[in-house]
Amino acid sequence: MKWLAALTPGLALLAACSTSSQITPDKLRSQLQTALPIGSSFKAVADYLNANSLNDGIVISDKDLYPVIGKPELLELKSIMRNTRKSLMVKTSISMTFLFDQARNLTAMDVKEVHTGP
Amino acid sequence: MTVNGISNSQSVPQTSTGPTYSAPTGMSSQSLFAQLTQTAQTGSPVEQGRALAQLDQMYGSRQASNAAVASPGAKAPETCTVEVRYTPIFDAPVVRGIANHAFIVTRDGDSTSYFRGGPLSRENGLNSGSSNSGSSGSGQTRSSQGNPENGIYGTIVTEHGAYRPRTVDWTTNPSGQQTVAVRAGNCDALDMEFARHADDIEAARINYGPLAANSNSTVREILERAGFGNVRPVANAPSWDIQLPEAR
Repeated sequence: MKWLAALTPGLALLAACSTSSQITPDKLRSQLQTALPIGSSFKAVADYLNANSLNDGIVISDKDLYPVIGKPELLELKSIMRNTRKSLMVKTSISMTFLFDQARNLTAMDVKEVHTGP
Repeated sequence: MTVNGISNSQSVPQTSTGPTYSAPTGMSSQSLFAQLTQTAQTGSPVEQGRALAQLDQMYGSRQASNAAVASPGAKAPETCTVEVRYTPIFDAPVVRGIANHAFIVTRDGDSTSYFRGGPLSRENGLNSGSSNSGSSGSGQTRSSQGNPENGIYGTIVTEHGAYRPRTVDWTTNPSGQQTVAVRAGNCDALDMEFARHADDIEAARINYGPLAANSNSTVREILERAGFGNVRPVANAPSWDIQLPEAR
């Protein structure tokens, strides 16, 4: 991998050429909090994510609701917006996690960036 | 091992403790069990003996061979399969294979889990971080955002959980896939061990570098700490062999 290491000085330059979309986690979080207040039903959340293409291209349904490991009283729905930012070596996605109670009402949401590199 | 039609796989000899068995390339443990069971029931006496011995070796006990001779429709005992999968860093076809991101996947009859590492932040040293809203968020809040001491990528952060569509590393077309081991029983204990090692690596606050300690080093380190010490990547995985410090 020495040849790859030799490319390192160019990486910073290429990083400056990275692509990015307009969406940020803060904007998305704000959007979601407005549209899906705590207490929203699972159906409302799924419908919103599907309608706004926030489902990673796969329609969200009941089977996407999983018990949280170690917290069986909670159910979890995950979604993701992939490659919201991309540079030479690192891709960035925005991960969304929605927690529901046993009645399938939204109790919490978490929106954050997740980075993937070598 | 072939999963979802993916054929880029390779079995790797292991040095871990406990019963492990690597199925031949292109054959799942269930298929192999079925084949061995049939041989154990219908083969010549020599073939039957060999098949039963192989079943014992495969599952680390007499449980499988006893089941094979006891019931014509014997079902394989549950196994836990440990895999390393790879996704390309570069999407363009010409350079797709030159560098990959590795992550661990474990599979048993009930669940599929993943374990991965990555940088805390992108090149500018900033990250949006995690912000929970509501009464009981499950996400981890990370506090080392933008600390110059941690370099432009920040520290290595790890994640683990159920591997399913919309997981960050979810792919049906990995650039590489290898079976590390097949163990008797479910993956519960191994998942907990992998998760503990992943959490320890994040807690050690190790600076991430694409060509230094990175996601591939993290995967190798998790496997090694769990006793899988001889795994060689089947795809180009920069920095696979870099040893991670215990803590800073």
